[in-house]
Amino acid sequence: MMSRKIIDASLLDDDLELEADVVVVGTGAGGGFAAEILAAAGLKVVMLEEGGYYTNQDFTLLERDAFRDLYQENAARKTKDGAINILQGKAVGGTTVVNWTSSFRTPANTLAHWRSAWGMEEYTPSKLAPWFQEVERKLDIAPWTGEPNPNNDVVRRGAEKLGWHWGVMRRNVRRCQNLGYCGMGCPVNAKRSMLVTTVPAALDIGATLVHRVRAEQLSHRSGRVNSIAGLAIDKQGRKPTGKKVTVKATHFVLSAGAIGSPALLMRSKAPDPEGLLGKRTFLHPVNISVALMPETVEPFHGAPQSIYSDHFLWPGGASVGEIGYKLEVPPMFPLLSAAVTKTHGAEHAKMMAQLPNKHAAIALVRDGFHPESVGGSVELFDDGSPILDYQVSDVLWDGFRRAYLSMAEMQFAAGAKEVYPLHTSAQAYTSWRQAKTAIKMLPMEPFKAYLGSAHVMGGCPMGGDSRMSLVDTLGGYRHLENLSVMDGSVFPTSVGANPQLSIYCFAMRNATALSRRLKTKG
Amino acid sequence: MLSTTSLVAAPFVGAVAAPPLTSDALVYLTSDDVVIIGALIPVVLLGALPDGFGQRDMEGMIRRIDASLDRLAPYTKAELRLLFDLMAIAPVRALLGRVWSPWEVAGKDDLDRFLDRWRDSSIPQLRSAYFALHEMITFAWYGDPAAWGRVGYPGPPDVERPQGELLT
Repeated sequence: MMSRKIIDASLLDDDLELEADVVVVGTGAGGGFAAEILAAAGLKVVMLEEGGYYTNQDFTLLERDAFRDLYQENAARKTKDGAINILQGKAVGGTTVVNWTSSFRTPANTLAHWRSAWGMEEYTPSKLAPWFQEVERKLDIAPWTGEPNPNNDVVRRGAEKLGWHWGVMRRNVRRCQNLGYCGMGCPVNAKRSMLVTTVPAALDIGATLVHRVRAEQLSHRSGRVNSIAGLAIDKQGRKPTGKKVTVKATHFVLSAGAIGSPALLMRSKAPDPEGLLGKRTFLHPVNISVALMPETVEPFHGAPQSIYSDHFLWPGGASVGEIGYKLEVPPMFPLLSAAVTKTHGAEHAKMMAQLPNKHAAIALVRDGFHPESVGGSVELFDDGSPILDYQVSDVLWDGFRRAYLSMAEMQFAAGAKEVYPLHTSAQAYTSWRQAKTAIKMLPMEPFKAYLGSAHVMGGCPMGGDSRMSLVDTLGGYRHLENLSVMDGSVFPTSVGANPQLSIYCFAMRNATALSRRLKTKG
Repeated sequence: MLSTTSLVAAPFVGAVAAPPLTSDALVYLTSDDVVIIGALIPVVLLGALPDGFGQRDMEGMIRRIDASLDRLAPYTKAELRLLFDLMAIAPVRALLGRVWSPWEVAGKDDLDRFLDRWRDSSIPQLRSAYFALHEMITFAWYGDPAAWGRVGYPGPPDVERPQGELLT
C-alpha cells in the first residue's frame, strides 16, 4: 500500500494547485463510489470534500458533538421558510457516516415511472440487478438478523395486528454490535460507510483527498470545464481561511448532494437552457407520531431502523401519482427528541421524562410523482450560499394527515397507552377512536405539523429527453461535455425508499461507463 | 461598554466567581439577543433545569446557542437576525408578543403565555419564530449530559474502538 495522499486544506499556508484526470466533488454515497471506480481504472483522481476528516476514534457518541462536526448546519439545516428541518451529513464519507444504514433497492414502481415518464429506458430492475448485487456484496448489505429493538418492534406488532405489510430492513453493516449510534458515527467501524470502504480504497490506489475545501466555482468555456476553484475552510468548518484550492482536470464529477451540486452549477453559471437546474428538488418530507408505550422501549438503544411498512407506499397501485408514504421509526436521543416536541415548560419536561417508554414512527412521503408535487428550488443567497425553497402542496398535506392517522392506528394496535402526533394543535390521545376524530380536524399548516427530511434528491434530473433533463442516462451533463453528476440530485422524483443504495448503484454503473470512456480516449 | 457588562440578568446572579459573559465573547448573538434568550430559557425549560442551575450554567448555554446559530446557512442567519432585531423593539414586543415589560424583567407567566401565543398564532411568521426559539434553547440544554438524568437516558456506552486510520 502506498502512503495515502490526504490534504487538510484548513492547514494550508499557501494556495494549492493540483492537476488530475478526474476531480470528484464530494465523498458521500455518489462521490465515494465514483472515486474508487475511476481510480481503479488507472485514472488520477482528486477528491474534494467540504467536511472534516473524522474517524471512529473521534466519534464521541454525543448528539451535540456529532451535529457540530458531522452534519450540515449543526443538524439544524432548514428550508427557506424554516418549515422543514433537513438532516444531511458533512464530513469525509458524507451522509453515509451518519445515516441509519437502511438499504433498499430502487422500488420497481419508481423505475417503471422513470422509464415511462422520464425516458430512462435502461433502468430496469433486471439490468440494474448486477450493479445492486455488486454494491450489496461490497457493503455487506443483508437483512438484519438480530431482534428488532423495541422501538422498531412497535411497527412489526402494529402492522401484524392490522394485517398490514411489514418487512425486515437490510443494512450495510459488518459485525454490528447493535449499539444504536449510527447517527453519530459508528464507533466500531461496523457501518460500511464510504469513510471505511470506497474512500480509503480510492486512496490506496493513488487518489488524493483534499478535505476542508468548499468547491466554489467551475470555470468553463465553449461547453468544456477547465478547472474548479475551492476555498479552504478553517479547522472548525466555519469560515474560509483565505487560501484557495484550484484543480485542473480532464473530467469533473459532481457528487456534492442535491443542494450542493445544483448550487455549484448555479454559481458557475453552467448552461441550463430549459431552466431546470435546482428545480424539482425532493425531500421525502416526514411527519412524526410519538407513542407512550406500557413497556420499556429505550428508543436510543439498538439498531435504529430494522422494520418498515410499505402498506401505504403505493395506494394507487400501478398509478404511482397517488401520494403514498413509507412507515419507519427514528431513534430517539434527548437532543433531537426535545427539539421536535414543540411545547415548553412543565408539559415539555413531562414529555421528556417519559423518554424510556417512548416510541416514534415517521412517514416518509413519496414526493415528485403526483403532478401537483413539484418539489422545491435551490436558490442562491447574496453570498452564493444555497437555500432550498420548498412549499408543501395541498396533496402533500393530505398525505401527512393520512400518515398521522396510519401511525396512530398502528401505535394503538401495538398497545400504545397514548399517541401524540407532533403537531402543535394535537394532544396526547388515549384511544384510536379519540385520535382518529382529532387528527381529522388538525389544521395542516407549516409550523403546526413538525416536518423533517433526511433525503435530499433531485435538482439535476436525469432523463432521455433534453428538454426535461439536465443529465443523460449515464449521468453526463448535457451542456458541458466533460462534466458528470453522480449523486442524489439526478433522481427525477424522490426514490420512494431510503436513497443510499440507489445512489450507490447509479454511481457505480455510471462511473464504470465513464472510466471506460476516459480510458479509451486516453 | 457592553464588553465589560455581564449580559445575563438578575435571576441568575449568585455564581460570583464566574467571569461575566460579554458580547465580544459571542460570534452571532448581540447583547439584546442575549437578554431575550436569557429571559426565555428558564420558561422554555421550566421543570427541566436542576435546582442549582446558576449564572455560569446559563452563560454556558448561551455560548452554545451562539456557536450553534453561527453554523446555520447565511440566509437562515439573516432571517434570524431580523427576528431578534424585531423582538428587541419595545412596541413590537408589546404588540406582537403582548409582553408589556422589558424582556429581562417580564414575569415567567407572561413569558409562558407569550410562547403559547406565538406557537398557536394564525400568523405563520410568529409560529416560525416560536419554532426557532424553541429549537435553539432545547438544542443547547438537551445536548448537555446534565440534562439526561431527568429523561432517563444513560448516555453513550463505553466501547472498544478498533484502531486503524481508515479501513477498506
